Amino acid sequence: MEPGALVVRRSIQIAATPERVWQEFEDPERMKRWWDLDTPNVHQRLVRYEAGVGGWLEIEGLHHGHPFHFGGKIVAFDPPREVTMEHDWMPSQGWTVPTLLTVRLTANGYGTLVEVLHHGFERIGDQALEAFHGFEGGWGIEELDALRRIVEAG
Amino acid sequence: MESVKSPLVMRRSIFIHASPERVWQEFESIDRMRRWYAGEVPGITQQVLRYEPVAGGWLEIACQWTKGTPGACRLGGKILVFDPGRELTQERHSFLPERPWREPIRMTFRLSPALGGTVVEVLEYGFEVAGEHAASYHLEAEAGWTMHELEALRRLVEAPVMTGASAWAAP
Repeated sequence: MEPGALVVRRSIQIAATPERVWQEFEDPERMKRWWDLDTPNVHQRLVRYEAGVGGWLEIEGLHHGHPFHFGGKIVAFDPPREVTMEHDWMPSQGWTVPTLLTVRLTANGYGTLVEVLHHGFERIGDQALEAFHGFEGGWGIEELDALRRIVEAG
Repeated sequence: MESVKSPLVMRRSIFIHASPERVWQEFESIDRMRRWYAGEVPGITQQVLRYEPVAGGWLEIACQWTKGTPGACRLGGKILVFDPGRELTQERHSFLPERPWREPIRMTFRLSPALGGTVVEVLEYGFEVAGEHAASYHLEAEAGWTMHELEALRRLVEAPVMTGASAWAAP
């Protein structure tokens, strides 16, 4: 999915093929190993994951002490290239439609570039710019770095 | 963008309620640049040492941080693209002896009109010149870049009146 003007991007290079990286997207146990975080600022748990189009991803936790809970339907699932899911707060905070969260894998001469793209803010209504700025300030690379360490460990 | 050929890209972005031409005014002199591209917050200090705003000119910064693993930077180089209202691209040599990049990486500020304002992106890329260290330098960039600069730029442009040396603010 090609994002619009308002997109938050984080990326990491992993020394492995996209096929190897994608194994970590295949079931809830694998996904929990890199989506579950306990860092000084972020504590989060993957509470639901159903792989595949029509599936679901849902996470809850604390970000700098503030509780959050988001989730949404998986709308694109293209091994080993892309998964895109809807992303909205639970319960809703008034967005007219969810934003979109894409994880994209691209092979290169060094292995695989993994990008997280949070986009679709233009669609959500009055809170678009506030939400975009919030996520640009909020997204770290903890999940991606955890994914890298798991894959590169073997 | 033509300037970006590298797959290893770090990107941060912001939306500013103003035209690209207005935002670009903050790129026009070293005094303007120092109000947003330099600053001090607890744990991080950044200075603009040299800025010659023209193609073939120069941009160089120094920074220090004490959060996480303490460190410092001194980064700068020739301005390759100076396209008012659209793009500033520079070479980035690392001038600290313990960070010996043989060839410079690159950094771009890109301004794009969108939604009645401007999206400003900062892109750091070209880490491939570091060979076997490319992935780790890219990772450091992704982990290390904050929003201080872009948030300060937004505050300066959107504030009706702004005085003082720098628009950095604690998060």
